[in-house]
Amino acid sequence: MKKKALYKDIIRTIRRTLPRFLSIFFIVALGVAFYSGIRVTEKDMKITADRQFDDSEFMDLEIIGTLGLSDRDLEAVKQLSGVVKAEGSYSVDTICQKEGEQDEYVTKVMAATDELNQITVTEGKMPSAQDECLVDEIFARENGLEIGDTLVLSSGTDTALSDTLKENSYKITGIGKSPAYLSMERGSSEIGSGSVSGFLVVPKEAFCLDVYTEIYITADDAADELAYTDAYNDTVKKTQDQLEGIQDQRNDERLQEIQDEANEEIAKQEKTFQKEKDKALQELSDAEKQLEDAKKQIDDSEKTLSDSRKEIEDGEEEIEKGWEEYNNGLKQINDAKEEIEKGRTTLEDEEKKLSSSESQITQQESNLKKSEQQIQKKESELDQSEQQIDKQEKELDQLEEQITAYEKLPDADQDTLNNMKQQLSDGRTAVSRARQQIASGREEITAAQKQVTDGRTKLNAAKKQLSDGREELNAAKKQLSDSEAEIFRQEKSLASAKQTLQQNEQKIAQGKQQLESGEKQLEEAKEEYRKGLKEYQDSEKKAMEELADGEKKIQDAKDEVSSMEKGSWYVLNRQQTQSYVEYGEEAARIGAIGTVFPAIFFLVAALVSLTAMTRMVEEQRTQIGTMKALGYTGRDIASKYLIYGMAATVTGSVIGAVVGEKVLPKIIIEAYKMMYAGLGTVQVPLEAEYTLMASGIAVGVVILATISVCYKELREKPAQLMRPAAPKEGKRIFLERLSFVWKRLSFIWKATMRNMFRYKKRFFMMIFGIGGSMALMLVGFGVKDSISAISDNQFQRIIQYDISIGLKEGAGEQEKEKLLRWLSEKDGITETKEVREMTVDLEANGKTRSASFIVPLDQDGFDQYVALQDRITGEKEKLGTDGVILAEKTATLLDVEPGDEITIGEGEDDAVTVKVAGLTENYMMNKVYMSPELYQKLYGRAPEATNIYCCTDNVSKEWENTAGTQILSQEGAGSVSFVSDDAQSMQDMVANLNIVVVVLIVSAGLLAFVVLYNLNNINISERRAELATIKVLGFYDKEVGEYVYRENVILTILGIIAGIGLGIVLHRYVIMTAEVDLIMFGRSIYTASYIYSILLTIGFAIMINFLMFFQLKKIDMVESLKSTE
Amino acid sequence: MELIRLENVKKIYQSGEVITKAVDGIDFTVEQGEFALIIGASGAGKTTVLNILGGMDTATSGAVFVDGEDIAGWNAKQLTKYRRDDIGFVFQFYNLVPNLTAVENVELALQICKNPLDAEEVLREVGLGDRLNNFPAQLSGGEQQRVSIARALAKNPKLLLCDEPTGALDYQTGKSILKLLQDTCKKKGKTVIVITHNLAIAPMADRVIEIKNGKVSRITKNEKPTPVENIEW
Repeated sequence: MKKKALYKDIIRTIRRTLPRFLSIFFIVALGVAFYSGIRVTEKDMKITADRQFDDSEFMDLEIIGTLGLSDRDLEAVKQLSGVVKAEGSYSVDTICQKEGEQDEYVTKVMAATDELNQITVTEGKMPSAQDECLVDEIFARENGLEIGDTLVLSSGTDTALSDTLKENSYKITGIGKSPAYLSMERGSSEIGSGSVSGFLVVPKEAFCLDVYTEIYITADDAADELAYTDAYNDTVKKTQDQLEGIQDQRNDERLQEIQDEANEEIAKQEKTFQKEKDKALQELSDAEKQLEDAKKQIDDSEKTLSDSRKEIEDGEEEIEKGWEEYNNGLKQINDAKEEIEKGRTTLEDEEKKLSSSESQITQQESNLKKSEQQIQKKESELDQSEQQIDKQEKELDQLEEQITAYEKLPDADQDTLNNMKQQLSDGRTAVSRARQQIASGREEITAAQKQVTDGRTKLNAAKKQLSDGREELNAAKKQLSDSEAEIFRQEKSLASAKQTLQQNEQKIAQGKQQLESGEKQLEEAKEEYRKGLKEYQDSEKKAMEELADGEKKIQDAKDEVSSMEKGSWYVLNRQQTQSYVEYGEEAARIGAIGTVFPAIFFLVAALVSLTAMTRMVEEQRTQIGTMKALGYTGRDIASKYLIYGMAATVTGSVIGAVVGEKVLPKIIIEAYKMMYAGLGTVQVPLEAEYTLMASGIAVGVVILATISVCYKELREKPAQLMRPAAPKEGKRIFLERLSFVWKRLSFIWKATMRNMFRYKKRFFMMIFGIGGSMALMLVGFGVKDSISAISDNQFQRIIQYDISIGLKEGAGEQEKEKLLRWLSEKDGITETKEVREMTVDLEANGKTRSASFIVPLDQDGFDQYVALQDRITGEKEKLGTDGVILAEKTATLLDVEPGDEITIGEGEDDAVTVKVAGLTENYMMNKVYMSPELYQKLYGRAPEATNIYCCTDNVSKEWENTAGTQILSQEGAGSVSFVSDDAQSMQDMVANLNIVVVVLIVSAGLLAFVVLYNLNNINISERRAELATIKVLGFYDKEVGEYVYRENVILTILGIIAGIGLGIVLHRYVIMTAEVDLIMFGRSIYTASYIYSILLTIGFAIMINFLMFFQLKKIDMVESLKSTE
Repeated sequence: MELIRLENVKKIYQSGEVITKAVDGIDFTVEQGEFALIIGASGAGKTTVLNILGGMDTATSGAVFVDGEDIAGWNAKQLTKYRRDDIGFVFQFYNLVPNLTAVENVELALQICKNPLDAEEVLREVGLGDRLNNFPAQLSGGEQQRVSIARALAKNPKLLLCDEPTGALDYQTGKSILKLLQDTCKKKGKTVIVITHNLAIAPMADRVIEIKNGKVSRITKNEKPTPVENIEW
């Protein structure tokens, strides 16, 4: 090694200036990683898809024939040189329902293919029996289908499902994905709701079609080419041309084939027809004979019946008579019974009378006895009274003697004597009175005794009367019981007569019943006969008609075959596969982002590393001079810096390219896989093209910069070089001219201002670096804002209804009314509105877009369901009769403005041309709104409802779940969709994009970090002496820091301002390029995003300045003593 | 009055096995108001002494008394305060901030000072009354050094430390700068310590400290220093 010392010097330089070396290394690595990573993503997306296509043998071309494709067609296709493989297959669109559920979905049923378009089975296995199927992964996931579930299919058209498929219910055996469907989009159909929800794969045997519906083809050499490239398209085009070349001939042959087949079939049918005709005529004559027999039988039985009817009538008459007799007897008995009863009553009365007389007699007798006793008692009383009186007379006599004695006494008191005389007279009076009384008593008794004697005579007479009565009564009683016995006997004989009568009656009734049933049978037989007759007549007529019809049909068929027209082929390549194209567009969009975004990133990185290298060469000026003085050539000297720079940039770019190309596409494509679930494993091969390009630019920039700086230095004489470079002159800056401002600034600020503007290169690098990373972060946040704006705006502000109920296909007015009534009663649902919502094709300026065509049946209050308004002014748009209101994005896609005309093609109706009256804010799907009045005017009929929009009242998720099932159980409801579900899936998608945003923010953050670190490093090392000096002057560390930071603060602020401007422009560009047709991103960045970006930038700046502080502290004051180097 | 006293100051650097004794036991004193010269050949250790004296470096051992206080044991912060308040520094290469004008360079020092003098007046005193608003690049070497001296003086320090102040200047200019320093010392009574390898100017100093191999070889005290204009070399 000749210049060993030089290499040693290089290695030592690297080691000594490791931070600088590393910062160049990292900044280059970052720049290259981001640049190559994002740029390669487009290609990696294509490679990933291409690998998926190749692995699953996705067809390059597909033929669809209007007359179907026969085996001979397939053979002819296989013969072509440009065709490697060809396989015929079947497919049909059907309406599918999960067994036991109401929801209807349009599904495409495809036959399982052997070679091409292989299904990737993610769960379970491919179907093997003809009533088994494999179901689309996304369809299964969205509708909760699982292996083992059964799907019921119907054709959805007038023709029967059995024309194409053998079975109508299929058991799920597996779940998988098809290369024909990369995205969630499943295309459109002519049946049902018009949009296909998913696909089903069934074995080929499940189809009962004679001919293929399509042929899949692998084109020659196409597998070697990358899908989406021109090379691929050109290769496929060659085969496509060949196919189109044979199409005419094949179609002729196909026509002949069909005609031959048809004629054969007609001949066969004719033969069958003749046979059937003969058989029918024979059958008719047989029937006629049977009818006649029946007629005869009926007549016979009619006669028998009339005979028995007569017999019954006679019997009835006899019974009638018997009853009459019986009733008479019964009456007599009853009369007799009545008389006996009467006699008995009289007897009882008599008896009662006798007994009462008897008791009277007894009473009188006892009365008489009582009177006799009284009389005796009175007699004895009278005797006693007489005895007393006698006694009293004797006493009185004694008294008289006494008186007389007394009178004889001399001393007799006159008074007492008087008294005694008085007493005596009184006594004499009383006794005479009593004698009188007794005499009257004796008289009374005599009278009473006479009375009693009379009584006794009377009583004896009564007794005699009574015993006579009794005798009479007993005789009457005997007579009565005799007649009673007689009556009883008669009654008995009557009862037996009655029994006989009843028996006869029963017999008659039975006879009648028999007669009736006989009559009924006869009637039935007659009816049957009539029916039979009519039937015979009808079928005779029908048979004749049918026969005539059959003859006509055969003729028609013959005519049809002869007038059959030639079919045509549609040769489709992948460009006609929707998801293939969509994915290609996505890749192109990422490509578009990839051209701007990383370029800025890369530019910043390249400029920063350039600055670092320049600075390094300038720093080592003296050394360069010394080397030159020692005799090293300019090339040797420059080579040191070149090698230094190359070492940093080459290693940085290689590592950056590898990491970038492996990591970034992986992250981004994985995020895309959320939407393109059909993709297989992400492929991230290293692409030399991008690696070399990024590394080349990075290395080139640094080398050129180094060479130009070295050249500048090397031009000088060694002597000059060894002297310190003349310090950069201080200059008055523009601000100083504005003395009113300048004067107001403190000294330190003046110094800061001068410093800032003195190093113009650094000034712009700082602003560019900070601004660049600020802009990248802002774009990162902004992209997320724009996408979340879709769900924020679309589902919060614009779509204000909560449920859309699709009316069942063919549901009548009545069912709809019933559903509406049910909804109005359902709690939680506040309002409903009928709407016509159809998928239509809009056309203007030669561009066509599929769109939802929405007509409210009554536009009053429609703004509570869908807000029609200008995005910027927020002004409400009104549906009028002068034109339709178009979604903003749709208008952009069709390139129309209010006042222009568009054509609406709806289903089988003729296309109408209408003026665009206004534009409305809308973020998802193409939409066109029309007033019912205008619809009436254009289509000549009132719009018919297809959907019912409902508003709800703050309902929960659970409510929605149950309400959904309830709604679908209503007769008129065919489908139900909740806006909240759409909003949720949109939010999930936004969440996926967080990854991309995080990539952007992290990259931008790293960039900001490295740029700031590097530039600060340069700043400090450039001003090492100056900083050492102010340290010597006695500045505290903090003051030294402030001296430097003040500039950084201002530069950071300026950088942020520049970054906001740049970010807004970049964001707008990215949003515009990244937008897909069906979606409009939000156009603005949210305030929060500005704040986050600013805070992050400031955060990075603070972090860097914090790190710088230690470097400032390390500056040795002794440096101030050295000469500037 | 004694302003500075160094007692057995040592500065030893050790890197690996090698021990370098930059200063190996130095003792000297400087009186208040003296004009002192520290003279020595390259590598004799005079810059180390200056660094230690100026508070930019610390001694490995020994004591450094400045105005009665031993700064040898002070920490970085105390030393910064010492530099800020007590020391005026004049550099060999002037070390002016290039994008500040003459007056602003002086003001830069005054920003942090307790009792600063008026910047313009100091500049006038050093003879730059008419170049106040010139940037360093617009001034000659001598003029830049005058700005540097003005910057040191304006802080009104106790001690003026000058590191080879004439090293980057031609003879005449160097002489005029030395005169300015001598005048400053004599007229304002400031203590000035000048480090130089130029033995010829020794007579102008009040005290000459000669250093050889990290040790003081001789200290001479001039009772009658010669004015610098009378010295030729």
